[in-house]
Amino acid sequence: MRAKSASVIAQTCRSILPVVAAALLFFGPLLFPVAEVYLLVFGMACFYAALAMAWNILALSGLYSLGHGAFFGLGAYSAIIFQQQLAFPVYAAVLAGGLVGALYGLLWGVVLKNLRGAYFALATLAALEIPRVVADNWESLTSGSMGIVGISRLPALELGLISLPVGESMRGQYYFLLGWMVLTAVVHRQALKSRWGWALQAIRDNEVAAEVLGVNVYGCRLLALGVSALLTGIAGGLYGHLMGLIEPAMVFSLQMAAYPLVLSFFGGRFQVLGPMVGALVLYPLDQLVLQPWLPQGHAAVYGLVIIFTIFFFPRGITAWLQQRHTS
Amino acid sequence: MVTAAPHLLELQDISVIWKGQTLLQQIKAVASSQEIIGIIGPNGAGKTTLMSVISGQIPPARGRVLYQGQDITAWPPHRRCRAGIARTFQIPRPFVDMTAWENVATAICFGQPQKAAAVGRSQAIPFLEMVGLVHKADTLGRDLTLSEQRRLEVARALATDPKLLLLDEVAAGLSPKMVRQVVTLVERLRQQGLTLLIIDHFLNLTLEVADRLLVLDRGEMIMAGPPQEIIRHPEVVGAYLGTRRVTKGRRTPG
Amino acid sequence: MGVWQQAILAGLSLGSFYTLLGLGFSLIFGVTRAFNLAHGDFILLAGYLAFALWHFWHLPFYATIPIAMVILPLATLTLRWLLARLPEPFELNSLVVTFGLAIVLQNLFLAFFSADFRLIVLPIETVLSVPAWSLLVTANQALLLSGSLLATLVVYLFLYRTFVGKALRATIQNREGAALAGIRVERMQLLAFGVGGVLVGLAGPLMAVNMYLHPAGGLEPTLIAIILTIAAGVGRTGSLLWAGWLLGLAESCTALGIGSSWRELVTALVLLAILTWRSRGRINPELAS
Repeated sequence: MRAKSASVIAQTCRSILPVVAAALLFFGPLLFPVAEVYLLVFGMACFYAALAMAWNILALSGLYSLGHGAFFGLGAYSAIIFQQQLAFPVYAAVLAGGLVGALYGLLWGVVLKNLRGAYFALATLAALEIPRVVADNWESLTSGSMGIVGISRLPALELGLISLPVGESMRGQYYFLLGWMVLTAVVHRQALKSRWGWALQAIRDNEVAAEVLGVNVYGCRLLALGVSALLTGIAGGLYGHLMGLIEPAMVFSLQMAAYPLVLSFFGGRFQVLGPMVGALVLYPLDQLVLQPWLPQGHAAVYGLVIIFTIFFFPRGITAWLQQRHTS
Repeated sequence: MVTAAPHLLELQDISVIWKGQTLLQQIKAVASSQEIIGIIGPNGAGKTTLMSVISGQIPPARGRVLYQGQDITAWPPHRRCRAGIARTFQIPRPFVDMTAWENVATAICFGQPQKAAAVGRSQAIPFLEMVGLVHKADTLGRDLTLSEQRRLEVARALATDPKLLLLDEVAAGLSPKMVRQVVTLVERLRQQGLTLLIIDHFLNLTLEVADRLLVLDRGEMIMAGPPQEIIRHPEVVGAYLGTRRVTKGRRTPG
Repeated sequence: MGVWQQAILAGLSLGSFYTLLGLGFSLIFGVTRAFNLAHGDFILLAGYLAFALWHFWHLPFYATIPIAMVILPLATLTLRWLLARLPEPFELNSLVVTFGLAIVLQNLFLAFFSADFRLIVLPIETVLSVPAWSLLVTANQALLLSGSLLATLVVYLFLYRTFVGKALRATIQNREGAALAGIRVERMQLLAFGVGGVLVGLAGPLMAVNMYLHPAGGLEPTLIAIILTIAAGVGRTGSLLWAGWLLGLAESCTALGIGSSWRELVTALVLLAILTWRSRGRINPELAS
């Protein structure tokens, strides 16, 4: 009797917890006065959640990229260049930056067509270096390694009749990033649950069998690359406005593939909300708990987490919790 | 003027070269509708390579593949599948993280000529029935035995609604009773309008069902004809024993 | 002082060093087929160790080399222990786990040594002057050249002239075949990781003298080691040396011609070229015969 009621309580907790967390995430800042630092950290957690989901879309096709920073950096620089030198409105520039990233992604699809596994990952590392070195040296366009400073905050988002003050307050920024995360999650869901998602599953399970059973492997992969690069590029474009400055080492960095990789693996690569859970747990943990304690080197937690994840729960923490729940 | 209907499949001078080695040399063959053709030969003869050329997974260095009169040499594998060419693999390749019915559902969804939107379990069951795997419909691919995985291969291939079915060593290592079951299935498939190309190293299947045998040895097609004639021919025996003399100045064994 | 001769010398000494970087990686990759993305960080570990011994404990530089060569095998053998326990799929998981290891190491360096660039400074600057060729050999270059070439020679002799070395080569070429021939593959793996560790222990201090140590500096040596291993073929010392020299010369000539900031672009393009060249027209062996 006692054991049964204990497990009922545990079960109720398990079902309620995600609902409570979601409610806090969506409505918390509206209902309670939340300190700015929390809005900042959780807002950026949403940003990295979106980045993780974008990366994961490519991983769902069976390809692990270590060079996603290329799309991020291309998006960041292109957005600023379109805005400052071609007078694009801010959001249009960000979108255009995303398209530049997507084009580079499609180029990967063509050039790296025959590469798989570790060889693909290595090639993406090389493909990351190319735009970075160009950005570092083409000083007339990008101000070289000094970077571009003084980037404005995001302007109000005009959606028809509504005008959302995004850049003016931390709360506005938080909700913007939350919305961006939800948008990315919708696309991420497609990569898992749609017909295309089914094809991706077949491809990553057994590519040779998939192609002989009618799956257009090349086409599906190109789509995954394009979408993943687009979303990452847009994130890059937004990043400049969030940080106020960009420089090559910052945006064309290994971090922009490392973080998504760790967050997706940890959260659960095959769950719609997996990478999101990973980001919303690890990033605030790192920023709020670990960084104050170990200002230099706190990021080691990401390395430790990925090692642990591979050994103990390779399908991610959400899948592991679900498994324990059902067994 | 009446022109003869094109063969279902025609191979014209197919050659495959890899890393300097000639895997296939000027293979010519035709297959007509509802024929059952056996491809036999010793290990390393190129049988699976030939099958991979037909399925589109290995591009030939020279030569053409014609299907229903069309040149499909440049067609990728998935396009050929939708056009009606299906194959199984010698070592089965199930989707290990999908159940048996999901494996079949994938084939229905992507391999059939018309694009299928949503495919349910009920549509996959009939194909599992054909190979006797219904009782394992909800088992994951990784949890099936080797023999069950082989049967799943066939069910999946059939689920793509093929006109030409390529079977690679589907009867290898089977008991006579199970071979009989395969023979029954193959005959039934022929009745339903399929053409079959069967790779059969040990000949236990093709001797029973094949109309014709093609014999490969070291990348060349050395002989073609009815089974009873072929198996007695000294060249074929020599190929299997490794004692056949090879012309064109390449090394001779034995 | 001839500019081009200097560049060639720089290219050769750098290239020999690159070969040293590749040797350790090649042996480990050869017996496990694991891409160790933390290879460069292991070298940094040896480098930082040497730096700490030299800077904080005032050990002469040359004493740090044998110490590093003894300690690093401990690290690489720990890596082997880790890799042996990896779940399937091995290739991708080893990539991800070593990636995580690299992140951990990088942050360890950041925590202990900060992001400042560190360098060991040798007491002597120039060692040799060859006026006939307009050449000036710095102590650093002499050290790189002699250390790397000596190590390469020793490894070559080991692999090709000793019985154990031949067994190791056999394991690299064909693991199953070697096992069938009675070679204890596990021992060969321990040996490869051990020798790899010693080579890394040599490379680290050499790097600390020649190039600035900084926490994020592990990626480049890793990439170089991988490029050379793929280009030269696994476990082949001769081709590795040639590949190393070619890469070193290409880089130093680029630095002379266009400017050193484009150097990493050369490395990246070379890697891409090698990878795409390798993959063209590949046939999946299971689809043939």
